[in-house]
Amino acid sequence: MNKTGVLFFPAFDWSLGETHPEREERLLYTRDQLFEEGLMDLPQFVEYTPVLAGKKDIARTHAVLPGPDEHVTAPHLIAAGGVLTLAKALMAGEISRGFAMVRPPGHHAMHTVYGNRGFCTINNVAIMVNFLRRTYGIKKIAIVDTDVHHGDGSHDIFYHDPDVLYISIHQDGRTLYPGSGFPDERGGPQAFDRTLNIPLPPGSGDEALLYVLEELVLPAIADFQPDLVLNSAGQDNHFTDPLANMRITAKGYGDLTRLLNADLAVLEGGYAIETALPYVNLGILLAMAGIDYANVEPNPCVTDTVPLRAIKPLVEAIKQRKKVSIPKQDWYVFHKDVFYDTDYIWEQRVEKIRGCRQCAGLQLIETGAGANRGAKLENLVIKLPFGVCPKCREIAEKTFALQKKALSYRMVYWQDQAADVYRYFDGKLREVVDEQPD
Amino acid sequence: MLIGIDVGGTFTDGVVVSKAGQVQAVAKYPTNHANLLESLTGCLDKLLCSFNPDQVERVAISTTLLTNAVLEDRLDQVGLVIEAGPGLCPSDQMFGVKPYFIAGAIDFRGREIQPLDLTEARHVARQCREAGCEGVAVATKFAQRNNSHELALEKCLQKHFPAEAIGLSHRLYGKLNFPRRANTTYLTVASRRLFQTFLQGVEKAVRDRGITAPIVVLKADGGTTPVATAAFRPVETIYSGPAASVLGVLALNPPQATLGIIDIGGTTTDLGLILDGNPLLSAKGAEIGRFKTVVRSFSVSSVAVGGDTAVGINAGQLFLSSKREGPAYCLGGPTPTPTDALRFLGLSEFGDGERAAQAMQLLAQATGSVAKAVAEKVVSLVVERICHAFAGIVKAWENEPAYRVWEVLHPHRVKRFTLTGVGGAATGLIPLVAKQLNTDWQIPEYSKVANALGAALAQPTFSATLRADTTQKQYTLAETGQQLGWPYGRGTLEQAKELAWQRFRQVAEEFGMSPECGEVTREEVFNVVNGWSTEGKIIEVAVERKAGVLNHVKEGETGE
Repeated sequence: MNKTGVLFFPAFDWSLGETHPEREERLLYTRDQLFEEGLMDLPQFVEYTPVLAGKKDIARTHAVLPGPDEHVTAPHLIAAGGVLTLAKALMAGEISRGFAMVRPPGHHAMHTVYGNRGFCTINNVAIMVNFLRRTYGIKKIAIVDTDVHHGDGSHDIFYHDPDVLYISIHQDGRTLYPGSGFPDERGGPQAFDRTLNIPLPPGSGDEALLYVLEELVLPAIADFQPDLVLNSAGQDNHFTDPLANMRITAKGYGDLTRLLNADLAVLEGGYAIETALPYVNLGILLAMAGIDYANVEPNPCVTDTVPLRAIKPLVEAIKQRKKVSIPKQDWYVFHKDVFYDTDYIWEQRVEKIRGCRQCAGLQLIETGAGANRGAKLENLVIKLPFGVCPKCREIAEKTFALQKKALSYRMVYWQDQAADVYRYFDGKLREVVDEQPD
Repeated sequence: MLIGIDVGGTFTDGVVVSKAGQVQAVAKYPTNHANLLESLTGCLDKLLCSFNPDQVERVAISTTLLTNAVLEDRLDQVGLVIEAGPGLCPSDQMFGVKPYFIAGAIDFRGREIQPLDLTEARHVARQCREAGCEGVAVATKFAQRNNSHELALEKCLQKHFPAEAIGLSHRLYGKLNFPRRANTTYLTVASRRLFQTFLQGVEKAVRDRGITAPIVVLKADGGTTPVATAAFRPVETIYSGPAASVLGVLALNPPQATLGIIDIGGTTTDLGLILDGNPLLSAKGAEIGRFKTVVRSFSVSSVAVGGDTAVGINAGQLFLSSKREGPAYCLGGPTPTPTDALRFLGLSEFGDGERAAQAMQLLAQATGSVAKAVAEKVVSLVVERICHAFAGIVKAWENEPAYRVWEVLHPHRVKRFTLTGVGGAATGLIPLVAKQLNTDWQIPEYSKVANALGAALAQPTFSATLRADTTQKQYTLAETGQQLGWPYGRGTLEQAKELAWQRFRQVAEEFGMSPECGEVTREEVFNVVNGWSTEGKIIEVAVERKAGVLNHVKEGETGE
């Protein structure tokens, strides 16, 4: 039988504050609903329990700054570890799909981590993607992010990665946090059109969501031909969510899940803890297991949805956009400012991507953060992507050797995804303070 | 003197033990399936040969009556009425019997989202009557959060059925799991009459013999319950036999011991675990036949292999069949069995040595091997299967879902345990299983009557589980389904604990136990936040008296 794996980690003893949306109670009613339904007694489901993600699982995806022992605590490691538990079960053939309902969420956590932003510290889905690539040699993975907020963390982590297709459907960034995710952000020069941002106007309903899915998302996936499809499943498109303005029902989420047919789904946001989460989570689980979800929610009375005719031009515009030819350069340089809303930190970044024809391209990222804009770029991340070419590696090694002598950075992070080796070199102590060898 | 009688599948075992834990007498009597009461009284009479009835302080029984009745479909015809509301569409397969569905809905906070359809309710009540039902079980989703729909249904049903033939799920079980609650309520109503008749028989037989001491019945969670209340929830007595064995092992060992229990029978082997003196409980509840229930029970798993399992040959390879073809070859049976292999290897003295050798010779010829190698192979197949099942229990416990950071950081781990053999069959296998599991092993004195000992020394189990939703100004008691007004405003965990303890002390008094014999086994508090401000709390507290024994058995001092 095709089993659906369930990993439920509600972290009933962790919160960002007593009345914060990301609080202990968030999945309480989901638990009540799932338990009262006796869902885990159905032969279609199998429940797993999380283990802690390893330090290396984090190192593979993030540069935790100013050092590896900052910010990341047990709840984060359990949420990420829970996601990895389901990934392992999938790869072992124990389940044919699965849904990890974990807290804390992850999709606003970027490549560099100076603290918490958008309720996220580390990026559970991104950690899973890189774990799957490293452990099982999986080449191409698609992430479809259906949280109402643009998943700017996942967007950031895979922006220059040609083997990961990141698609985000979200409420238009001009009307909602984090204010990004516009259609012209299509991926870096080495990974162009591997990022697809679909902003929808506030008030979009089931019809609009499913239209976008069928017209844009599914064709993009078919075109990319990924080995696995993952769903960053935020439940805050629901018409009752207190932080956003969309009009999706639990049944709409069920339809989305059925059509997308993702291998694994991971919970992101969703803060209507009584009116949405119990029913949306249940709807997703039922849809995954092929069980009728038509009656999943009590009286969904949704009015004032944006008519489909208002969505169609957006979709057409994305469909019609032209292939852009990007001039080849030795290095491409990007400047980025990142705001950590939870912790009130400003990060400034200068990213250099090598315009390599042999691999995804070495990345050299200068970064710094502080209480105000314009922080000193005191840290350097040397990121060697999966499948890095010898030339890029040579440049990386030279850079690292040079910086170990020059000591011009507070921390230099060697992130070698290809060899799975990670080192933090402390410029003040003049030594490697943390090493995750192969 | 305490009397314990376990009416098992093959034998009815009895034991007399002093309160101090000294075994005074044991008895074995063959079980008569057609008349369990006769088996029980037969065993009792054997025990009473050496005792004066007024020396008896308590009679405790465990019986397969209910287990058999459920498995053999010998229950009353009872209608099951379900109100499911939104969520998972209920299907017939989720329930052990085909239910009647009714419209209406309550949510997880106990708020009504759709009123009960009273016209439909009256119609269903009539339908149940016309279908010839002798009783009706009612279960509505989230009834333990709001019982009004079940109470309204009860009113409709009372026009057609006597009060004792109606079961409401919220009065019986407070656990979240609506299909299991429905099944358990159904079994409760459907077995009440059968059980009551049996208990009346037991009571009469015991009184006729001049015993005036209280009579108690063992439950699946290893607790005892007085005859008078056992009839209210008869379904709790399923699997009281295996529970009795677990308690027996508990009694035969020092307190706080960590033990693996292995009971090798003719066709099945029962396995269990005791961790630091606490028998492991099944996470969701007992399963019996096609019924998944919420009945608290020890986690006991049965493997379909035993001393009488037939050994077959398939494509030149030995295999263990899932059936019993008769007794072992060395005891005059038709096919070779593990018992023959053990006899042949000198690991047991049970049965005829010559015939055991013949049995192994038969297998050796068919597989082109020699008798010794074949016997060793048979034994290793059995050991392997048992060890596999044991690993399954340990793994299930270690992998139980964790919902808190604390729980993940302090995972369940089974420490080194001592493998304890009970039951007395195929004991030659136990050292081999222990070797494979890399544990110590023991076969305590009286292990053959561990079940009866367990029953004799069992203590009551009971609990008080309180759930308060202070925003809604109410709290409920899971054990009785009562809904009461919350007296304390927003409330604190301490206040909820005090209320739970009050309730617990009352129940303890009813059982004649010390009011402080419980422990808080569960507590959780959540803030209920609305519009960025805290409105109230949801608090859950359970105070529990766990399974245990009156005393541990003193070895080597018997009155016999």
